[in-house]
Amino acid sequence: MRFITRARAVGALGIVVSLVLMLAVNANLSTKLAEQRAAGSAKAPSSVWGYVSQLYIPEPKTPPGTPPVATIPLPTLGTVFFICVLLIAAGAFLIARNPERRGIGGYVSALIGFTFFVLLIWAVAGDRVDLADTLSRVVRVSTPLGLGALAGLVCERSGVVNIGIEGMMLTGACFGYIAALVVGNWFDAAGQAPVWFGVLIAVLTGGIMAALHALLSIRFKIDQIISGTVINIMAVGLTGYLRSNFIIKYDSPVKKPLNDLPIPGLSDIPLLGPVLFNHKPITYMMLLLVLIMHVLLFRTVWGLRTRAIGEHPKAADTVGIKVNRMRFWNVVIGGFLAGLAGAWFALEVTFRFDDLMTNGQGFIALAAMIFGKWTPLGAYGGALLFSSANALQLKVQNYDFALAPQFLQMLPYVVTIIVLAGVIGKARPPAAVGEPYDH
Amino acid sequence: MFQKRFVALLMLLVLALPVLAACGGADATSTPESSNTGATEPTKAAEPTAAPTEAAAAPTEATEPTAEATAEATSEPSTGGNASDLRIGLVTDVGKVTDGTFNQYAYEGLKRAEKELGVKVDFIETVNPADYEKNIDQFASQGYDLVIGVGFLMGDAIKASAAKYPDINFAIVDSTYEETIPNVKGLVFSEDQAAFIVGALAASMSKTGQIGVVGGVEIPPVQKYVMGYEAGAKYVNPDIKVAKVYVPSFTDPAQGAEAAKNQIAEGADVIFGAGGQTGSGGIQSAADEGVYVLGVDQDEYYTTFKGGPAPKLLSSALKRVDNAVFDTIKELVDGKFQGGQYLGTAANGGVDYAPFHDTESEVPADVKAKLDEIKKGLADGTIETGVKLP
Repeated sequence: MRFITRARAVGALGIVVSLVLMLAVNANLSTKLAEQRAAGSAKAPSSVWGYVSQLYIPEPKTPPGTPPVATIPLPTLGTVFFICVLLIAAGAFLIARNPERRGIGGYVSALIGFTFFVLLIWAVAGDRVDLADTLSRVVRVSTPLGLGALAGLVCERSGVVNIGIEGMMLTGACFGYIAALVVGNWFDAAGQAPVWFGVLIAVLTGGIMAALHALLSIRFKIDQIISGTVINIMAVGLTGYLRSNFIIKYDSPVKKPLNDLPIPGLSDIPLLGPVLFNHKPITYMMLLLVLIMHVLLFRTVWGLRTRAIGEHPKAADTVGIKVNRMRFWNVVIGGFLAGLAGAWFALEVTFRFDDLMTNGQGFIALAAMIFGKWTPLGAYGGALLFSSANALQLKVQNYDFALAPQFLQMLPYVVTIIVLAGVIGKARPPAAVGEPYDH
Repeated sequence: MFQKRFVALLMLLVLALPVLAACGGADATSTPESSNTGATEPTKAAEPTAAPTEAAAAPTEATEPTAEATAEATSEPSTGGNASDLRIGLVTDVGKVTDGTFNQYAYEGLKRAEKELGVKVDFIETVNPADYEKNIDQFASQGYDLVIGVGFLMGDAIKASAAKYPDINFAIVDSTYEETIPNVKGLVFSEDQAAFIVGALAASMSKTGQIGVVGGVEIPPVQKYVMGYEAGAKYVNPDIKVAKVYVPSFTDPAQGAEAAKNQIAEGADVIFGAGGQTGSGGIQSAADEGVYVLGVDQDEYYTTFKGGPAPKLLSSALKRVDNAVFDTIKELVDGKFQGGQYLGTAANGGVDYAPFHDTESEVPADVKAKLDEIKKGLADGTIETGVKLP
């Protein structure tokens, strides 16, 4: 029995992180207090414990400034100390009991979640923050990651590595945008119909790019990493060419992205409404697809076969599954999902196309997929980890926060490294992933 | 066997792409002189490219597969005078002289010099950043008197060419060097002054007492925009709250949009986008949400908002690259050209703010007067932005 086990390492990590947080918040607030006193500010509290972070929940669909439904005042330092002491205690317990598996994953999740929360209330010390807006952003920016992770998952579960998701997203965004512009121009229609047509084209474009990947890697058995890289590089060149030679010259009456689609009734619930039921269409689609894909993958014949050709294609072949044909279509399905993610960039969140506008989200989606151990729900958990960190760093920058934004932007990657290093069990890819199948 | 042939076909396709790109380039260069000649105002940009701030163009570089540059001499005969012997060459950053970015502004300065000073001008549109030096060389090797490069990214190429051709003068937009090179002039701008004016406008138009700015990568020119904006806003209203966000990319409009929405949710009602396409995505989305927005570098009425309607775009913080280029050429004509730095400020017309366009009637007359006053104050030195980079 080794002395340093997984449980002990995780426990020690938690204790160190908690101690650092406590010291940092205390030191930072003390400096802030000294500065405010020196400046003679009326807002300076009597002691460093007097800072309060207010989390407020606004009335849904009212302009900013309307009195909120509820305000939760949290004494900043007290809350931080309380959370950190709990985390330290749990960490110590983990070290003492040294369990084989149980509780480790839960502890890591709690550590990540509470660290984000501590950073948020630290940033808004002496100020207030809109909780509903923060959480709704977490859901919104998880859209391309969730869809990208599903795309990667469908491919890899059937045994094909797909690092071309980024390129499929970018091409989908580009062609979807062009389709919306052109169709709007032809029919002189400025409304939502051309944009929806663009979404359709984006999905199909993603599928076509994926078909190319499938053709190269399944039919011609080119190394799947190379083929994916080809897709990514080709997408950059192709879309850049189209943008500089077509898009920026083209005038079209269509100028607005997809509209908000609040779900009647449900979207009026405070907090829950804005967070879950007041989004644009592709975000809803993503949430539904995560659930649907989980059921499909683990509860249907298609799912069983998909997993079989990814784990042991020979065995699948002997029972009559056409391995390469099924792989081909699964990769194309992955491409549809990636194309939909591309539509999010160009047609939902903004209505525009820029070179490289997907900004590596296709790769981060793959990290989310691995984080979730190749299951749809788990992968979406990974997507939420990245989107929370993203939403958090956007939020806290508004408050003259002591920590550099670059540090917060780095956080999810550090977490991924820790997770991939095997902290939460071993992440095991499908056995036959990356191997072309020859009968 | 089949596989080999397929790969060969693919390679052929890849090789064919730049040829197509080159054709496109040549077509575009044959017509650009029609409307903008001699304009002193930055005239209408034909193409809605979003504006990259300095380093913004960096990620785009990779997009063009290979080298191809189109040089074209303008046919207009020069109007005489001793300046007619002077030949000026302009090398754009990746883009076109009609793309609405600093390339177009530089081109307009060049055309104005041709008309008013009677110099001979040529330009080359760069397609691939790997060609910077080659394109500069095309002019330098022919003994041009001044070669102007556009963009921070061309800094090294200009420096190398300046060493290679010590008898030729060079100028570079948006870059400068630590030690003075005797035959190179760096054209840089006080971003803080431009942002100070629009910051004052933002503070004057805000009803909630909160405004926001969406910055790109946290590099000096962006920091100067952000800090100048805050300083300008506080100059008008010392109690105003300014939310500042830096996004670690110049080409992430989705993130820019979320950053802007985030500030709007906390009560900001004027948003300034200062980060290339990221900032443009931010103000586009903010305008859809119904708050006032401010553009950057160029008049975004013509780029991001495609020439309108833009009922929420108040103005843009402008870098007048055209004036900088014109002034540099004029120095050469007057025999006063010196290596070193040109700093575009409110005093020499190097920075400015764009017209209000569709919000003309919504900006009160006293605010307009105040902006003029601030611009004059910045020009004569009675107002200082107080922006100092750490």
